[in-house]
Amino acid sequence: MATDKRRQRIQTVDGALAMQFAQVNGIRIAFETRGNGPPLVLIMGYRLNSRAWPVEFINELAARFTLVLIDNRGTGKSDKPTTGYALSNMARDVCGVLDHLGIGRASIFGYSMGGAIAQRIVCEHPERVLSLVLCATLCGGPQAVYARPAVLSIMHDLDGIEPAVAARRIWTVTYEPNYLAANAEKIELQMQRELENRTPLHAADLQFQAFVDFDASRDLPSVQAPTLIMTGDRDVLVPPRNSYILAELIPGAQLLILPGFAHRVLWEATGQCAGLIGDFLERAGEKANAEHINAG
Amino acid sequence: MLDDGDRGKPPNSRSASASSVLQHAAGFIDDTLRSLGSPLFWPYSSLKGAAELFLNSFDTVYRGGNVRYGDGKPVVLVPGHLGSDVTLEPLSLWLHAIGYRPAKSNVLININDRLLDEPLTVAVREATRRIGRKAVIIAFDTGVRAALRVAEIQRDLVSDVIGLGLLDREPSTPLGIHLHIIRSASKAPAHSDGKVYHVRGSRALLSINPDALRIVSTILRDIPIALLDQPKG
Repeated sequence: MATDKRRQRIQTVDGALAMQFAQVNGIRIAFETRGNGPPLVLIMGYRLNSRAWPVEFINELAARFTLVLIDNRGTGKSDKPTTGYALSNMARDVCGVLDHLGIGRASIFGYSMGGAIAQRIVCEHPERVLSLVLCATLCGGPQAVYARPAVLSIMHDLDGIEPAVAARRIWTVTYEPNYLAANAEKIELQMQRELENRTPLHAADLQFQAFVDFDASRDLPSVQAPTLIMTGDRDVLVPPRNSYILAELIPGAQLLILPGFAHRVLWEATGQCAGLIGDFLERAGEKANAEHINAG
Repeated sequence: MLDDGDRGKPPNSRSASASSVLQHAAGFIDDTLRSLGSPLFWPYSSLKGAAELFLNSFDTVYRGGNVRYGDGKPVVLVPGHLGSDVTLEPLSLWLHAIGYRPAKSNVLININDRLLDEPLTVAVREATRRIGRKAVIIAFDTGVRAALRVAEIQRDLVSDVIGLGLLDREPSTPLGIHLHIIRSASKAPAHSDGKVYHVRGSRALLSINPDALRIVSTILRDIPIALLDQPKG
């Protein structure tokens, strides 16, 4: 109830809510809530903040869910400390925001490194997860299939390069080449949004380190939340083989391979992804409700 | 015979200059003998080194095995006696592969550690300015002397010095600088004694010794990031 009142008070003209802050896990985390319906937390990937989500993707999901968009530690308007980037700790940041909003359980969507944070949440705080969607991510550890060194070098070795030049360099391994050629202007605008609030180098380095250290492969077989795993079949950064591995590890997980799309599958097939995710989460919610009624 | 530079100088100045040259020459010979041993044993040392290289070449540490990934901090490398940036290239490549930003100290050849101070200072300033964090210096034998001198002056830019194969007794550490020492021990197994680590293997090959590399990665990982210009949260 208190949360609803707070939401009404800060609602802006375009229906979106202004950025809010929660003091959680020893730092200040920035987040935004949008839409109506069951709660859905969106966790962004390496180096990006919540401004990077495709606008159409957010609008479509906000019509069906109450979205909680979080700026991960070190990005956007959240604090940028020099410690605490282990993905387990970043999972605690997300749970802290849920506590702050008075949300006991939510569906979790994690993209790329955000998918790794989502795995830590479902493994370490299973009671907080209604259902799970993992997009373009991996389980980490020795089972994971990592990108070729040349691809990782493009992502990581960006010292002394202007941010816009670095971003354009990264496009070559995150966007599908044909999509990139046909949508240069749209991608340029997306880049401008992403560069509005840059992630400092130390935060990017520590996120990368945490992603390298990440390994959920032993914990995933105990996941009980309904899970959807999705990826583009032309992803060279997180090869699609990782999604097959995740689907083998998580009991009952559904696997969706989207043909013709790369790591930025959400940006390349925005409407399709929003529809698939929304349908899966609604079905999972209905099933959970039915089971709850039957159990009662 | 006097050369042109000595003509017109008073006798005292000439003798002081000659004394200084002799001192440098004696220092060079002393450092050479202490770092490479007696020339009589050089053929034996070379063979032993080749065997050690061959045996170590199978170690997984070179492929990142049992090494924790780094946080991108700048690491300035200082060569030892008669070494150069080129001799530290394998270490530089390895550090980059495990997630650090190695920087060379622009040394063509280290024949006198006093001559390293200037290029090392430039290298530290450049690396820290580029990355925005304090640097760690990894130095070898006589290079440790230069590293500690530069760290003392540039203590706002250097957090730690890792010294490998010191020729001297444990040097005094400048205030605010953490010194970690890795020594070679021909017979004793790898062990640590506080901040002094001992690894099995020859001193000359410490920069590619698998045990030494593992210790270096652990030390680097445990050094917290020190930002030079703390960004606002």
